[in-house]
Amino acid sequence: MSDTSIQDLVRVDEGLISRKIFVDPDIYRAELENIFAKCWLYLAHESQLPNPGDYTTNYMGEDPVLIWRGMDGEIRAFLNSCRHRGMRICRTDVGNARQFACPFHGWTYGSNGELKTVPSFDDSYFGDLNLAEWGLHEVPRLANYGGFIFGNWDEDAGSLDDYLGNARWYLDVVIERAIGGLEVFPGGQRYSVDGNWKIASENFVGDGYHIAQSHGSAFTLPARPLNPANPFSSYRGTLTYYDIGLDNGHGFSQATLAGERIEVDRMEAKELGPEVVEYVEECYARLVKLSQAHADFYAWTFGTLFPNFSINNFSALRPIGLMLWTPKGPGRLEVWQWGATDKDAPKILKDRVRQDLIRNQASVGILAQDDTENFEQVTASTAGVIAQRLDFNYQMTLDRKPVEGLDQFPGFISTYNSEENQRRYYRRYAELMGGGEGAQQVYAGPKLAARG
Amino acid sequence: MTSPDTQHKVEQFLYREVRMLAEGEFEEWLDLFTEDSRYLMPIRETTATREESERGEDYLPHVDDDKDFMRARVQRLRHRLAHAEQPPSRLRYFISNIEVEDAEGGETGDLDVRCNLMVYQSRLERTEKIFVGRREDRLRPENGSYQITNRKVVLDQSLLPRSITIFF
Ligand code: FES
Ligand SMILES: [Fe+2]
Repeated sequence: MSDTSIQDLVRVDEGLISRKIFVDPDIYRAELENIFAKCWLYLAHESQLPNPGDYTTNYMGEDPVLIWRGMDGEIRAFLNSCRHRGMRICRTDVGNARQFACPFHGWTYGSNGELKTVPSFDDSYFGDLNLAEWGLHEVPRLANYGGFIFGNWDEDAGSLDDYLGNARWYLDVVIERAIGGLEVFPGGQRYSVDGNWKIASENFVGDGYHIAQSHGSAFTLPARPLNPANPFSSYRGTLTYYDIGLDNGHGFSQATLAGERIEVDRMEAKELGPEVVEYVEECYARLVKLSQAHADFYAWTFGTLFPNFSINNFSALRPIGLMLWTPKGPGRLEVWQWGATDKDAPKILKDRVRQDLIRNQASVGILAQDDTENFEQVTASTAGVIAQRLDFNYQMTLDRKPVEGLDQFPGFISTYNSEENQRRYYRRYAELMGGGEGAQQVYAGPKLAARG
Repeated sequence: MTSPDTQHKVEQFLYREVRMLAEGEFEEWLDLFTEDSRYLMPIRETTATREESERGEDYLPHVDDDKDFMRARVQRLRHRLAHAEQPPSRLRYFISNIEVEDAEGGETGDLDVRCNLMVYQSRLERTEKIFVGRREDRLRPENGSYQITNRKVVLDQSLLPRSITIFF
């Protein structure tokens, strides 16, 4: 990173961030070390691995990982690479296995990661290999928050609960609202984007500002359900949006806090029949049980958990979109994307949610199409030496205080639009990239729901 | 086996159809689909067997459109803010291996048509993407030509080279 420090490049207090951090290969290497090898990263949802032996794959930074429910029922994650000469152990995306035999020389690993057998152990190794030392390299920290499984390469990392901090209050909404628990639709979409991973992550942490221009074409379409981009077509009331800046760089955007969204769902549910009306009321009642503030909040629109996991949820009648912006070098990312809904949602709703998801923020969705163009061209036009001398502007609402009188909602509540969430995101980024401890923000809002 | 005449008519129909797509005649292209048509693009995953890799309808697909939403996509692309395709990509469609069979044992006159598909997308300066797969269409004879009642596009890629902003 030569002689420039990250503090010179990321000047959050001035709302200025050097373009360099989006294209520089050395900075990218440092991100893999300081962020992707240190932070809690989303791996999978437990509903994807219901049975012993079930596995799926993912990446943590650029390291391929295998997430595997052992024959003993416990979920673990491993570097997906043989300890002998590095061959990829699991070459399928998803499946069920009691063990994996390495395709290269045949070292065979059990579902708890242990090296069980090596071919010619007696003839070639003369029994001189300590199998116990050569099991799969396990992700040392694995934790589950309400079904969302995260991993961390850093043995000394704090707990996932502390990492999520007050974002848990908001995650509880989708977790507790879900009747029968959340269920991820089988299958994931994947597509490549020639853009830097942070451009996508920060877009979802709080960039409501781009919607009118970037997605303006989508809003001209007829009403829902035909137009999934327009969630409020049947609602005639006023919606007041806020951004919510959270601990450790997380943020949710385009939230309503005065109970508007349940009213939107109630209207839409009526069009879908009594079964759905009942469903919405039950979702609402479940949130009231958590707290009236949770019920008033009801859903957010989009958000990012630092560093690269974004979650969309417009309402109980709409999909939960799970998006990972997987880094593949400074100039490329891969979108790994899933969708979830409540396990016990009425069939009519599940079908609609699935449709809604893929038409909207997805591989061929009318929103992701325009986002992709932005992510790619921001990155491409930043590659030159002149561009890299310039900063990006994050000065919107720079000196604004949080909105008052909303103490029942944890976090820094901003008026909408705002770039407060992006600044918080990059403040956390700079702390980690500077190698410092990164003062964890002390949470001082309403009590969090207790969750193991 | 279909007659050489039918084979020829189907081939000409498909060539004209992809030319409409390459030339951005989306409204005319939409007219080739019946009102009750369905356009499906499943995801592909790397699985132990060939059969499993093409994920069925219980999986999250890339596309599952009815005619109304296909129309909405076209309407959106015509809007001045649809910068995903404005300025438009330059597109070249290749179809081959066109196989034509009577659908439902020939009772309805409908045809089942399979072809291989390769699409080259060149966008702005340096964006170059290639999509490869096969299509399975159900065609209904109509006024000396055909209408598409059902289309399935099965790409070979499990990781798409880019978000798809074009039609196949
Ligand atoms: S690389 Fe796996 S057994 Fe040799
Ligand atoms: Fe967007």
